[in-house]
Amino acid sequence: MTVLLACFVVVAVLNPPRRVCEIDPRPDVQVAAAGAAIAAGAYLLVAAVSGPVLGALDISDANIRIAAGLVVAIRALVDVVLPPKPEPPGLRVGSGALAPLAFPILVRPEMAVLMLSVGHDIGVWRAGLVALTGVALAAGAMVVWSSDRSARLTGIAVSCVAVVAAVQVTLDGVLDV
Amino acid sequence: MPGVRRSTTTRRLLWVAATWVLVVVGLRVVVVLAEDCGDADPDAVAAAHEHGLDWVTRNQLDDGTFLYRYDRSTGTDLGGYNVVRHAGTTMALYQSADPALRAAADRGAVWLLDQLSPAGGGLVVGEEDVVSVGTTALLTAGLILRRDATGSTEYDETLDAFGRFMEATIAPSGAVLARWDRRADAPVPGSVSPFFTGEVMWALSLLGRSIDPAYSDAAGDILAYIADDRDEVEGYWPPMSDHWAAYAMAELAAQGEVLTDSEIAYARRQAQTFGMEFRWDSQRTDTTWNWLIRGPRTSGASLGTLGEGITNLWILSGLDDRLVDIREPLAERGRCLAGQLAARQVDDTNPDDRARGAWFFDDVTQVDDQQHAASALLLSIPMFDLTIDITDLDTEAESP
Repeated sequence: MTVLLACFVVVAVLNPPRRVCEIDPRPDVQVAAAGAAIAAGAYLLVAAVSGPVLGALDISDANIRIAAGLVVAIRALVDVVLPPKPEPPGLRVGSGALAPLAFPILVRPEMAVLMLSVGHDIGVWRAGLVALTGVALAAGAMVVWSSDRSARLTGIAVSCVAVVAAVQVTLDGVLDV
Repeated sequence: MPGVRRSTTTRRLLWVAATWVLVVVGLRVVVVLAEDCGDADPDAVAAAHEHGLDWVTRNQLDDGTFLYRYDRSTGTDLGGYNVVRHAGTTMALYQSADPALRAAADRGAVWLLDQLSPAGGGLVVGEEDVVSVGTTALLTAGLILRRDATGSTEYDETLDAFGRFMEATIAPSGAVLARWDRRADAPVPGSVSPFFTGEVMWALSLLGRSIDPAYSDAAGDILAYIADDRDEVEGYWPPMSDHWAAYAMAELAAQGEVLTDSEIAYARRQAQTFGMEFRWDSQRTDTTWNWLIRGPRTSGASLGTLGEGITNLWILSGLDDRLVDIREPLAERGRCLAGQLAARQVDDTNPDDRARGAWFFDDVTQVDDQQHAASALLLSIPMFDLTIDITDLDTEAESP
């Protein structure tokens, strides 16, 4: 997987406009930044342990790429079909940066699997940077995006893009040596 | 209302947790199963190679033929015979370059050499009305490897005659016709084989190195056909993996031939196919659930051919910079495959002479299980020591 494809897929998977619809009320800049930082840290950790984890589980880089592509594709298809819903207020912890913003909105299982693959393919720090870009865009969208309707529609379009990107990732894995 | 809010929150938390568990467990159980690399250790691999060929020689009959198919559950020799596989097994014995195996290899070769007949301006192995081309190709390869190991030129005239015959099987397109009609002294029109084309190409490339460089040109013509046209013309879908073609490409590159971009692209596609096939098979364990989602483990012969393909493409990748990016992935797959072969082999302490050192599928072993597995194991050994200079491996006859 190239850095460019990784960036593209991560942003598509994190789907900033869809995340806008999953948090209510919208966070302020500090909370969004804190949430993004927590999420980025979590993904950096996943990328950092990708090598040892995949080694311990006897999973090749090609096969984890297939897994990442499949799980992202399935999630993106679900997102195309199902409308987003705000997280329930009861999930909120403190300012909301940790929960619900970081967990479960920004830190998602399909992203974790993707980061295992990305971390192994492009290196930990590049993967961390790619993840930071994605979560920053998502958190930033939560702050600035004003219209729920346009966020929902744009989110569907991004989910479609994510399906295409996921297929590419899967094919990359299948056709790897 | 607080009660409703708690209930909604709890349900959401449970759903989030369930999603994580479902993704992680589901992927592990269905998609990313462990890829088993068995005994991926160079000593185990070398020992497995030796034990596999020990099975061949231990079960060779006095006339030079080999035990062909054996069922260990009933202790029964299942009979049958395939002359092409006899030639392939003889080749594998010569390939090891072990002097202790040469007598057995020579007996196997003599059994074939006693069946020569004129064809296509040269000689073919076989006295039936219609003969398979592959037998001659694999005997050629074996005798060249014998020549490499011993320095003896006693079969050079015969080899040249084989070369003339094999050239006669090549159509103007570069396709190799698989059957020869001795009555008409002509190839059987339209006869194709998924394996004979690659075998003939490899044999001709070896003849080009040792007998006459013109034979390598003929091999090149076949390679051009294989790379661009064969799958479509001969109707292979999905495109077939061809370990014999991999042998030939490595041999041609070792001779200094520069493969075309199209041929390199073909080599890359072959590497992808071999890699994909092995990664799938490495996840098979023959347990019930695994059988349902991955199917049964493949035979020693099938796994061995994947190994021969991967190892020869690895050799090619060391000789052509255009494939350098897949060199390490090929080595990783090759080492893993060799380890798996070593682990699946019947233990060397097994009291059954016809089981010890063999690879079984459904309690049955066939001589080419040992042939292909042994070849793959031998060729994988340098992958464990990346300090070995690839230019030292100018023949497959290098001893481990």
